[in-house]
Amino acid sequence: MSNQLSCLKEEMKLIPEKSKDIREYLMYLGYVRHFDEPVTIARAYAIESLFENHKKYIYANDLVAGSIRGKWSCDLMITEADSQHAERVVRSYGFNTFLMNTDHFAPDYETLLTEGIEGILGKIRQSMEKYQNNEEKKTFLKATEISMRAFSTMIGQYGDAALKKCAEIHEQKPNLLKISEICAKIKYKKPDTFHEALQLVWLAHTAFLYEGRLAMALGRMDQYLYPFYKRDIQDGILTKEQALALVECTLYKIGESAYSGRDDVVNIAIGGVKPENGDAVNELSYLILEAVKNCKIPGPNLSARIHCETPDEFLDECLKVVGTGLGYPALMNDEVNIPALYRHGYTIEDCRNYSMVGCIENFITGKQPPWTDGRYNVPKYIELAMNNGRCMLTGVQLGPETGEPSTFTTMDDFLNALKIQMEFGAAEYMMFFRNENDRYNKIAYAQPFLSCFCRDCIERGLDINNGGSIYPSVHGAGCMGIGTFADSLAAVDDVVFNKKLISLQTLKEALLSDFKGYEELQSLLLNAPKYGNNNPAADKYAVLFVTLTNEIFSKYRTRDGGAIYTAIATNVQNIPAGKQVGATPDGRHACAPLSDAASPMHGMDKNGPTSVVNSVTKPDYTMVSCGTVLNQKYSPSMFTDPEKRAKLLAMIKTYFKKGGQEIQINAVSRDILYDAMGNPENYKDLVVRVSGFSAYYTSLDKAVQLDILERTEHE
Amino acid sequence: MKGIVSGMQHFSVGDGPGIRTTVFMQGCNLRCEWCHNPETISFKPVFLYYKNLCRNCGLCQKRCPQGAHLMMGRTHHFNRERCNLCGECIRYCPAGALKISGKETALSEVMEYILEDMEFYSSSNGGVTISGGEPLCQADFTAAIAKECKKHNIHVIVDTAGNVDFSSFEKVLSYTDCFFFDVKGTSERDYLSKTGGSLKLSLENMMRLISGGCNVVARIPVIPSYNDSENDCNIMAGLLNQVGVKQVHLLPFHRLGAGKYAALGKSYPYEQCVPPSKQQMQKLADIFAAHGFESRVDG
Ligand code: SF4
Ligand code: SF4
Repeated sequence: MSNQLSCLKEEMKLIPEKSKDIREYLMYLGYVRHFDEPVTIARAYAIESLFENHKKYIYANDLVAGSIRGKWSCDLMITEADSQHAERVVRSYGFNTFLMNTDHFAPDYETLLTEGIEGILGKIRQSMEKYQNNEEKKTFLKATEISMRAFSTMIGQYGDAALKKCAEIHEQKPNLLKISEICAKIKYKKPDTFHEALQLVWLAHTAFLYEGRLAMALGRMDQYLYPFYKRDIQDGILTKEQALALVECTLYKIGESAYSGRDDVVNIAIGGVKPENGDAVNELSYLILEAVKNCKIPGPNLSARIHCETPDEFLDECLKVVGTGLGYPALMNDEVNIPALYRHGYTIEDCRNYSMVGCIENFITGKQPPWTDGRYNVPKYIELAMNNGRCMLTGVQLGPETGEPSTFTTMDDFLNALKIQMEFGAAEYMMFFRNENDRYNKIAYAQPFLSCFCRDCIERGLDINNGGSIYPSVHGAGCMGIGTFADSLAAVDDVVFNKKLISLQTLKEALLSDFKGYEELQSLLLNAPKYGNNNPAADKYAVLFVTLTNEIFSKYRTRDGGAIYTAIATNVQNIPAGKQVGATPDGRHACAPLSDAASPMHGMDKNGPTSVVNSVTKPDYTMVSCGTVLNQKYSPSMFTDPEKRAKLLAMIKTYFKKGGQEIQINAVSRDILYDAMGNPENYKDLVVRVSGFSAYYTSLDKAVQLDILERTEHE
Repeated sequence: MKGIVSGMQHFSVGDGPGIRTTVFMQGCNLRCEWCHNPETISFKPVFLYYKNLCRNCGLCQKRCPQGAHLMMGRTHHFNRERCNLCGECIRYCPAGALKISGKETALSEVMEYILEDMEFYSSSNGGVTISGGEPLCQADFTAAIAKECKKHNIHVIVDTAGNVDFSSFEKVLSYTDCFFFDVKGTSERDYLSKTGGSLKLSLENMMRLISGGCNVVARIPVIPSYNDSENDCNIMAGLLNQVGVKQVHLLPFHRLGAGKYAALGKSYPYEQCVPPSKQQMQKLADIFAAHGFESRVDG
């Protein structure tokens, strides 16, 4: 860790005073001077006010300026009455929301860095000339110009603030002087050095945060910054250590989001292939990995793209970082993600240049409108198919009447009913999404600043959400509960139709009563084949899950003709989604959590990680264009012992070779082991791996469990 | 062909190089006091009841035709003598508290399990470890598994205490890439009293393997106040030098098997025994290194 980072960490411990977020008031100051202007222009002035009027906070120990502390601190005297009045005005102009394509975006930083603000403003001018007879486009372009100029001013202000900080602390800080020099240059001119480039990107990111955007990605940092890095190193004006300190100070400020009470997810993609193909890993990829490790905060959501020629050394470095307990980088398989995107008609170069937004969502960097997604609760449709379309929790008729289970004589009859329920559910899902997504007129709700970071908006004179971007908007339908789904169908198949131990009607009664009085039946269901054990009887229904959801959603389009991707990645959401689902045929109680993301049901994978891999790789994930998440846990020694780490590495490479899409690994912490002692039912899969010995952690005596706990601390 | 198998485990990472599948054979001719796999000792299947997992739901009582499970009030009691190992109750237990170790298993079933992980063996230079129990007590079956593995080019380790007639080794050695050979004492008397077997026999077998050109690793379980002193290690190093073995793995004693003793209704004599520390293990490994062995701490 660089000395600068340790100093910055110290300085940032001072949490800003909890006061009101003044963003709305700042926007009001913009609107209020332009009530007579078209709404697009008024919006641009609101952005201008946000950028120019927020207080530019500088950390004395920082190397790269740009802080969101200005959201709370302000030199203006704003009374409660002031903000109430401002609120009325700002609310009237209205806000874009997540479902209207506003955040979860990977900006085109490449253009910003190669052309600079000067270049972008030049392009805006050119376009204005080109469209001088088109009022609508001219208005939009004027809005982009206002916002870009405001951004330029903001950069200059950060430079001035850095100088002022020196005066404030009565110290000539070379790092602050450097910041002021850099800002004075890049507020207009394109950056020439690594430091300048990084500063420009970070201020653009900061500007997005002032606009109120969430989950804005930094994209392929190791690619767009590399030319600057390489040149500086060659010219001898930058050392590796200096570069590390710069990246650390930048990324550590992602942690500022905690001041607002929630961690932001800022995705950074490293590694992978280049747009023209060939391995893209470079020194910066390693450096970013190192910086993220040293920052040790949850915000930078690091994704490492892996392809068949990724050097083992890089993957090994990734595992070392995972082993520190951070839980990332998440590992992404280019060999699946690129074809998964390619089938939607993007050029192959654009597919290879993908990055991720939010947690894992695949994104064509800087060439499509921001992301939206939702939750499609698949196990709910099993419940409806079992109950003639009626909700088991409320009795409401939620789906079509597909018949009482007593009328189903084969598994296929049941599956047909299920498919009808799922199709109806998807129609309803799309209705809700479309209504939300289309709620407001895209011209009135223009996004002039964001549009400057998406290819072709300026050239076309159109907003990012109004046909400006090269590619249309896409949407991700987060398909919940693949494990619950596969296990439930496998249990029905096994217990009802194969072994004929009970009738489907009895099963329905059991589900309706949440297994009260049906405990024996529940046990049979719990002991039926389960997904995650390389058991074809269960795994085939996971395959069905992927093909069926893909088939159902490929019928639909977004408002501008983009695809509806499926996702099997809805982390944590499995808990709230489970609350809406009655008991399921896998033996799960009503309202209990569903299986998480693409992982098998918690505790049901009893054959170890290779069997999980064998099961999970059966579906074709090139159909899942948004992405999947497979969560796995390993004991810390798997990361610290180089020999064991090599085994883990081989495991992951095999997983990817077999067509796995993504894997997120966690080192099992002491907390988890403690929890397992108290709640063994949740940890049936936790295996203790010792030479010549096999046992599940939960089957061990308390005293022995404590032994292992002790070991974990020392490893 | 059939054998009796206690269990099989994918992704074994402590049983040799790479990612391995370990086949635990049922039945052993030794009685090591500290054994951590007590369920594999008997040549007949044994029933395990994990009281710590039991939710006292009483479902097993309803299903058992022998009346082996008894609910007394709200607590479950298991009457081992009555159980005839039919397995019916296991299917109904919601908690996974019931198990049988030792199942007559066809060669094809073992192979099917092993072959599931082919891709992992090749990507990690792993393979199969046949352990137990004492795999050489079922030498024909072990040989059959090893032979099948070789057909698929899978690396095979046989993990044995080697207290068997050399003819058992002869059955497996042409299909075995490496023997993990347990050495469990420094003198004939100690060995007999702690394991019921013969040190001499095991060392002779080891020597014959090595002189026959087999790849052998000596694996030494380090048991506190039995063979964990520097002196013990010096003696063992001397013995192993004579035998001609080059590699030594030290395996620290652990108590992880305690729960299985309870599940078998047995008491565990090493309940209170404290496992050796990492530092101590490393010190002992260094002694072997000083004697010229390639030594390491495993486990
Ligand atoms: S295995 Fe059979 S006999 Fe033994 S306890 Fe279970 S049901 Fe009863
Ligand atoms: S079925 Fe299982 S959990 Fe229930 S009483 Fe028997 S052993 Fe205990």
